[in-house]
Amino acid sequence: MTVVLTFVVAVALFLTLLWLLFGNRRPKTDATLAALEIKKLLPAHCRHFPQVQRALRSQDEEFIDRRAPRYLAKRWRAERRQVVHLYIRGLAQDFRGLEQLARLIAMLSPDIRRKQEWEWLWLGIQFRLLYRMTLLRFALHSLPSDELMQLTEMLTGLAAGLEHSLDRLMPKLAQVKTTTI
Amino acid sequence: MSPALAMDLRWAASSILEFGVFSLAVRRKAFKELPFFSMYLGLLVSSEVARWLAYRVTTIASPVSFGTYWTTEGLLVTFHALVVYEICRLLLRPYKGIWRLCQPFLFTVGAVLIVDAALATRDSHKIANAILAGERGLELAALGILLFGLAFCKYYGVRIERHLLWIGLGLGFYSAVQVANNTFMQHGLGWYFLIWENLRLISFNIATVCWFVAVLKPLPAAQPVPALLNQQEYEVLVPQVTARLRELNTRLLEMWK
Repeated sequence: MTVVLTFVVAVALFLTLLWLLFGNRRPKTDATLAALEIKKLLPAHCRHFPQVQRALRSQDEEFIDRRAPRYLAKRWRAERRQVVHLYIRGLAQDFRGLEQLARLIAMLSPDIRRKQEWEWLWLGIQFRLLYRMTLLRFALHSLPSDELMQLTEMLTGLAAGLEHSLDRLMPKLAQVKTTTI
Repeated sequence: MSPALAMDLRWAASSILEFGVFSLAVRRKAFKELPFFSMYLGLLVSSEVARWLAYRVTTIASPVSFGTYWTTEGLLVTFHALVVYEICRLLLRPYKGIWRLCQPFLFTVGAVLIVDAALATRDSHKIANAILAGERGLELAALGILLFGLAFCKYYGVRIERHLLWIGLGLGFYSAVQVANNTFMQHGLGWYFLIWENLRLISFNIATVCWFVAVLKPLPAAQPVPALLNQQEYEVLVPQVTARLRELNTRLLEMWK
């Protein structure tokens, strides 16, 4: 039993090593942040919320139900769901951008707080779980537009706050070479 | 071809490969950036010479040969662990904050696994088993440190230079194989010895080929150390990012109420 267990552990450790060394490696380009524009890390998808909100209006639904043939209404609903689904995915992309920014800040900080890093790590795990659950819930029901609006407002607020601070830090951040961006 | 001759030929080929990697590393002036790795390669070549002399002067089963083999092996495993630490340091040291954060983890992982190895050695009644358990524990410690260091690189998106990637792969591969191989040997019977020996040699040759690939091309010039943020800038940015990340999660949670 010990022998089998050790073999499994050794294989798992080696696979982990391969993943850490070769997994998700981008092409061998000089991926400096300068080339990729740091502002791309700031929330962007949330800016499209007005359009998404228009797509979610209940008046539209009533109008389509009254006027359009059934097959057309069905297609319209499916397309509308697709838009919201893409939007939620976009919000997740915004979150990942922020998370990446947080890690860049940590990389360039001479003295980072351990507690802070744990919190960012925990928030990332929490977000991923919640995001998956939200997608699942969306697949089963529909999401109320009010809640989407709250999410969006929050991300837009973040963009405004950070843009000012980042303008001053851009030259330093641009020096960092990373694999993940 | 007799098995003894075949074994001698394999051993000679392995030694030539090790010497080739060492020569190439010297040519690439690897000792400037990777002093422990260069010393490790040098030690490999000198160990082969010492073992060969011990086997020739005495016999392969003599206490002198046994002592020479395991003393050089102990030195090699120790240097192996130092090379792993060197790789982690090279990757993360430019980022002072992360390196400070990572170091205690590396020391803790290393210390725990070494203590575990020491305990395993104490529990073994036979000397051969004690050596195998000790070596397995040290290999596991080296592998654990390497994985932790690389996990930090992955999390923060630190770029791993090509040569460090291949050196790390060679070290990690050999350690992983030895962890399993030594366990089998401890629990196996006499029949496993030949497999154990061959696996040891083949895996080490594969690791040496990885190191050969690492030093095949000229080593890249050292990257300039990025300018770090000052404390004030950090204090301004961190609360903003944290608050927003936290808020986003809160909103997502609210959807579930």
